Amino acid sequence: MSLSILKSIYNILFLILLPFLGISQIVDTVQIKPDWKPSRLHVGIDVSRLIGTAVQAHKNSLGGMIDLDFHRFLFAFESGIEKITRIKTFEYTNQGTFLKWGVDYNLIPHNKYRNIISLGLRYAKSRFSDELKFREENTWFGTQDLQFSNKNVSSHWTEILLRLNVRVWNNLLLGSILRIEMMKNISTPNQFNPFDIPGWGRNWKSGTDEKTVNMGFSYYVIYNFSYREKKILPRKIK
Amino acid sequence: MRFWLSFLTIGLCLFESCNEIEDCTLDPYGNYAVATFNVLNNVNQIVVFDSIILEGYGRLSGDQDTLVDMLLPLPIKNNEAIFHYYTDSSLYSLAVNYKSLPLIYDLSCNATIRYYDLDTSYHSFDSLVIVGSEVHLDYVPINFEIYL
Repeated sequence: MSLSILKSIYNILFLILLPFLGISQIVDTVQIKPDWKPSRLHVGIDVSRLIGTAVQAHKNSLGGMIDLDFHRFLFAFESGIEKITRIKTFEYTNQGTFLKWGVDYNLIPHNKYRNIISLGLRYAKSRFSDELKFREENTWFGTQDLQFSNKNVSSHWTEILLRLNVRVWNNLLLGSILRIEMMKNISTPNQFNPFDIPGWGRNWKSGTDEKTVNMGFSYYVIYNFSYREKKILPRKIK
Repeated sequence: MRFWLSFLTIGLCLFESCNEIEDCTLDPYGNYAVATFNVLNNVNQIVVFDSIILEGYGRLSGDQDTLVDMLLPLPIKNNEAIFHYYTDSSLYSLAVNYKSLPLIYDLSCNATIRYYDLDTSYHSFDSLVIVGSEVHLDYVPINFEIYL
């Protein structure tokens, strides 16, 4: 047990010190035939969404991810559901799902603990319905209770992401994803401008501008299903 | 662990720095269009109406004043507002078409309505010029110039 903890500490230290390690060994270049056969399946649950649900009263959200390795690439799927209820001087509810899929490129395939630092690209799609209720004080028409709703609005966007997966215990990994979301497109809403988009975040920036670029973080607890042994790529050194 | 803590802290700082506080009085979306009245060949002449009626809603308040400009209230429940201007000798009509889109200006403010694509389907004035097709109090002070 203590050995596993030491391994975990080593893994985390390795990730911290990685950028500072000079690669200065001199060995012969080895040509290795790429192994495209998948060997591991990662299944994860989005802890940041669970924490968000527990901490933020207006938010209910659940998310998960799956990825499969192909040589240095990982084919990844992320999905989730989200329900947002904002009660202010207005009442806004938004409920929907999102799906993201894409490829990650593992920058450290030679890591013996199967830790991952990867750069990735995702195409994301979201479908949701939302409703807005508010009271308008109008000089000419008096007080009006207004209600608007959008049904089946769809939105899609692209994400660039940096991902870190660290093995913390046997087949258990912690993963964090830093993502930049961009190139958002939203179908014409039926009745009003949606304030949130599930999977994207706030659609409408403070003031009068729409959010065209967004930034996000996700934290995952991941279980590694390894169904065959795969050779760890040797470090390619000049 | 320090790495994770640093990563979390940077994330929280970034998240907080994005939270701007909005002044709700800066909401630029009004619920009326603005029309100015100009008398052809005599810019100094003032315009006096006996009454101004918005079809379906009745008389507008302040309609008997001497008018240089006039606020045209736009009902959210319709896409058209028809105004009738009565003077002692004649009747003018103006039908305004528009689109509306409610939105949340900011979480700390009330929801608001954006009126855009303003157009006229009918008018009986000498001429009318659409100078601003969106209601935006900051950038579009006048929507219609009406010539009598």
